[in-house]
Amino acid sequence: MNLDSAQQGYLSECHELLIEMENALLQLEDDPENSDLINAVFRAAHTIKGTGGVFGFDDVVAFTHVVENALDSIRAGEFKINSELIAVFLSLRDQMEIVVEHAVNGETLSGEVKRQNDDLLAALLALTGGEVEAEAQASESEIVEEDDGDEDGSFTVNDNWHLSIRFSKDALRDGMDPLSILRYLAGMGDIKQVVALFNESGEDNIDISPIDCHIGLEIELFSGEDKEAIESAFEFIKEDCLVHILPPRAKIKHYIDMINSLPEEDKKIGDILVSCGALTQSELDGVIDEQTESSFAPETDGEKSAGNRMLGELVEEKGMIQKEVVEAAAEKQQRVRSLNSAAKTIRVDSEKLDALVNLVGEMVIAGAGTDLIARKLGDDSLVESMSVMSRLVEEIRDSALRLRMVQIGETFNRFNRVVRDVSSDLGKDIRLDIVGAETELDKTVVEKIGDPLMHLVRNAMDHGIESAEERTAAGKPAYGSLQLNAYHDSGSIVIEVEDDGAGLKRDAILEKAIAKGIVSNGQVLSDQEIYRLIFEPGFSTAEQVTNLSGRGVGMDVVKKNIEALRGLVDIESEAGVGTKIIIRMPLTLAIIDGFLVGVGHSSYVIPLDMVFECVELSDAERIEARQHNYINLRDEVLPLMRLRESFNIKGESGGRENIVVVQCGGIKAGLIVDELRGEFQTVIKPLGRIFQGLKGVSGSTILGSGEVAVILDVPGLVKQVAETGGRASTIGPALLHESSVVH
Amino acid sequence: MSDIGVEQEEIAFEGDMTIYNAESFKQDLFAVIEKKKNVNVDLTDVSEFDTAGLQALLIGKSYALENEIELKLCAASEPVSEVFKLYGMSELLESHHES
Repeated sequence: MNLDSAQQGYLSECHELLIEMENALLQLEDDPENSDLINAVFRAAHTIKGTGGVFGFDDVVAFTHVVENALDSIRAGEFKINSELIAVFLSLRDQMEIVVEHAVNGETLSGEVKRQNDDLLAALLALTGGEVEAEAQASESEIVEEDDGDEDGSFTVNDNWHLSIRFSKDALRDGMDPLSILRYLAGMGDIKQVVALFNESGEDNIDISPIDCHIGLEIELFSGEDKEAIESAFEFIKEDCLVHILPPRAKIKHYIDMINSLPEEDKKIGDILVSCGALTQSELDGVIDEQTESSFAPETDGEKSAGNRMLGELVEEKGMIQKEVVEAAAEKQQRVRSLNSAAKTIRVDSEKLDALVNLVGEMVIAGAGTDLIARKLGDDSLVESMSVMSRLVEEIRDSALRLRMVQIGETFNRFNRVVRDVSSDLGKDIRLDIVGAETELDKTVVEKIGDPLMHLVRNAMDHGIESAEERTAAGKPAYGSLQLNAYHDSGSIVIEVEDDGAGLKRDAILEKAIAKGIVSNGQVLSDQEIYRLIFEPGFSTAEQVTNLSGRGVGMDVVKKNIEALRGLVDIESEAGVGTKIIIRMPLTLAIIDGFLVGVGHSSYVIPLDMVFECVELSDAERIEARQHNYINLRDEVLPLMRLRESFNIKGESGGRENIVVVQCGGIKAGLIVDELRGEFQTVIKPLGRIFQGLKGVSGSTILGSGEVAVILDVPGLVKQVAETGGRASTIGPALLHESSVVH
Repeated sequence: MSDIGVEQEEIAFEGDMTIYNAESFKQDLFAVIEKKKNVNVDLTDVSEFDTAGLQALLIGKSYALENEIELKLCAASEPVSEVFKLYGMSELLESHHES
């Protein structure tokens, strides 16, 4: 894995973590006491920081560090989470995303971003800082007292960072030469003094190997960097090596703890510390006194007994020196955890999945071919074993397609945040209710449904749900409800966006439609038809353009996007009760229910959901069709297209021809074919690159006989028909007029 | 290179003295030390030097001490003196005193 792809991996990991973080934060709003959620938020921040550090993304580390600390104190119960804090964390989360993206793209933070960073962190500290102090005073009087204790005894006079490192034996073999650390540190500041220890364990000279690392270092570093930055020097070794980092003027007790944990004799270390200038001789004497005192002092219940104090120090030490160790442990746990979850889910390149689905498709076809031969041969046992085989192949195909299925929940959950932000922007109290988050559908569909849904949700909040005053006046609860609902229904997935707002204004829509010439004045339309008018291009009922709706994206675009996914949009509305927009989508884009038709010897597949009806072409109509390229179908103009001519197939059709009436985007057209062959479940195979520019064809499939059938691009054909042969639409007369003008 | 009298051995190391060959340097040093004469180690032509190389020399020093002889590190090349300097051990190099 090269660094680039590792960084991309980091980016996508961060995105996931940030989504987790956001979800947890939003849930915390309802359940502020839930420690699992707080942990989840913390873990996300922690991992982003940790991994960011590995890549040397200092901006990420610096920013996340503050967030992590605040979360840590929340975790420790030092103060409680409230909605104000959640709002700040949400903004911090967004900022983290920006900072991470900058880091991965190798951009330095602009002044603007930096300023935002500082503002947000200041906001965070304003909320947490004060409370921390108050809490600390209330609970840990002991520590406070210690801090106030006599300066000489508590703090050293050393202005330098003291770094103590004991390398693991394998350090050199692992490519981690202490020299590189020394060089790195030299770049961070001024190395005042280095005392190198060699072979302190006293191994015999004969046995000792120069490629084991027997080096220990005590370093005095003068540097303006913070602890985080200095720690980063040890990022790669901290798991195997003993590292202590003491800040300038560290407390004596921290030195004591360090001395205790080092493998060498205490006195010897003491002398070394004095010789490299970390401690003065008198400080060292103090250390030795205190140590003996503490180890001999009898334990009493007295609040200031030496024993207790050591315990307190140990706790504090955790926060300071052994942070690396704690972090390393946490990281290790994290890794183990991610290994465990890796057992449950595997990331697979979607191209591999596509290849698999494609192969399975081939197998279905080959199976059908074999089945045909078996039947021809009339060997019963062969036919029987083939039918078992076919069933298995079909099951394989279904599960292969299911591999591409993802739950829609993730897409829905994004809207928690959207609803929260938008409702506060609008000053409305809106609650989002999600139903059927576990409903699965094809990943490609999920990816493409996001934008249309976003528009519908924003629309519902902006125009659908009334202000609190209007709502209370109408006897409804002051808060508005928005529901996202998903469920499976006979081979398709239905997604509903429902609000309990004022409903669509029927008369206003009709008025506007007439003004725009979409509907003629005398036309009688059902309510349903009127509501559907909002999907017409250029239609907007918004009397006031807000920042939400004034995006130039109308409902017509939503409709077009959904139809591009072979989906359908419908709308239900009741004045004063609410509006429901229903999206019906195919479960997958890889398989369609097709309608097989024949022209000459060729087969064509028309997506079944676009087939409106089939009618036989009578002789009279046939003549009419020859002349005009349209017929009168139940008093409606139906433009026609002869597939035989369009696809340049030689020969004449036999006795009868049929019209397949297809409908797309409200426009109907008739396709004249020779033969109707019925429904056919089709595995779509994309056309090669050469054919990609081809009009009227959207893909191909292979029939059981091995024959290739072309899948017709109905929207494209209908458009073509409409342009050359006139138009017909459900909303008739005005357009009927137009079409006669053409001829 | 020798103000030390009669019982003197010279050994010169050259090329890389790194983790890849440090073990053999150690063996070479031990062989010389076991002659029980004072040793001058010439480091003029050492081109690459890392912690493993340093440890080989340190082990030699310590072994010499054990055998009650003197082992001097002489005429360190640039890479060698840089490493000794980083480790704060420059005083172990003879040239350090001379310069």
